[in-house]
Amino acid sequence: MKSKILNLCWLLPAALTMFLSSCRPGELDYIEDYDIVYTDYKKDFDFNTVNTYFLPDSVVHVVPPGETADHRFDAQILSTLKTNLDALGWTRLSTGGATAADVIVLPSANSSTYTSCASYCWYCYWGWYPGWGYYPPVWGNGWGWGYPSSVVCSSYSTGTVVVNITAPKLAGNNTLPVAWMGILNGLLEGSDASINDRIGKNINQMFIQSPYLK
Amino acid sequence: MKKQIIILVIASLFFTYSSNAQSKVGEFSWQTSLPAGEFKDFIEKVNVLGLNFQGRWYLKNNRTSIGGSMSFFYFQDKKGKTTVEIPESGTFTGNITNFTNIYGLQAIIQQDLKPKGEKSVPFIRAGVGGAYQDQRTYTGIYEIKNDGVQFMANAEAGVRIGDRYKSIVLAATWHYLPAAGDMVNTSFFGIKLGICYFN
Repeated sequence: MKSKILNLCWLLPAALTMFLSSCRPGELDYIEDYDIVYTDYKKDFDFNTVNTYFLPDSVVHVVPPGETADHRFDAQILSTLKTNLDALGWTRLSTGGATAADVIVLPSANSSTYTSCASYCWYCYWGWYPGWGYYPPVWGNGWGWGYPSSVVCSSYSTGTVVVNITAPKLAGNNTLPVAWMGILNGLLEGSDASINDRIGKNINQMFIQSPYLK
Repeated sequence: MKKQIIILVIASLFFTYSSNAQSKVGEFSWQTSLPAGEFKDFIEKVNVLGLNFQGRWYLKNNRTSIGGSMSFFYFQDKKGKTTVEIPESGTFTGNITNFTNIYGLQAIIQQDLKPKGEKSVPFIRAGVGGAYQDQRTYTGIYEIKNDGVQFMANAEAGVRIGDRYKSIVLAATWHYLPAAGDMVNTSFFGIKLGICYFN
């Protein structure tokens, strides 16, 4: 049995290499490749009954206490929403008017910054170096790096816009029913013009993928 | 499932060692695979990374050999910007990239259709065992991960060309891994090119 095992030893390094490796796709090329759009709606809500809407003139920002909201992209969010809602044949009513609208459109936004740090650690892959004999003892557990820094940090910001179309006439039990929701999420990176452009495209996409609104 | 797979592989090895084997063969092969069935919805593209290592021992009849194999497959499909209707859960648009790594461990049986010593020997081969699969979807900055252990079976038909010491192997293969957990049913056809050494 021993000879059988020894004769196949040549397979082991290759087989172990195979089992210790895994593959993954390369990174995406452009920032907009990371954008996603999600929509859903209340299945028993009849959108044919909607003719009028309220749209506030500001976007609600969800920010942690002590931080200030970033309103750079509010105008783009509101104008793109208005364009798409008008294209549905709905009429925007003034919140100060005498008539209640069929739906209220509520946009909100938030952003998050993610930070991560990585320590470049060659011994994690090579195992502890056993020493060359003239550097006893073995560099093992308890030994650290003498470099100025082996840690590299990076961060990125993401932004999310949530649009809810609510049905105030169906409100009850302290609940405002949401008839439709659209969410866009993406990296908050690049110039303001580029971010505005992506916000516009992605809000348009919310309506493109919701043909039942018409 | 894990327990059954381990028992199967151990039983195969035990049977191999107690089989009064006449000769041994080691084989390494590279496989190109084409997804099929439900798996084709997850990965549509042909994959070119499939590796297989196996060791087999011939039984007394010199036509049948049994042994074990380790295999690795990587499939990737960058689907680009895609709109997906999620039943009862809305509509989603984003760049979708699906990929999976499959690590298989199988017991193998092969039947040569001609005497082993001939220059060209057609064969049929079957394998059963288990695989760890790591199916993932990247979309936006998010990642959906479904992984776990699955049953894996495969069937092959091919030809070995060479002499009694080393040969080239060319085979058509089919692999099947039934759905487990949230992992989709996985099946794929392949063309395998390999080398084998006799001892």
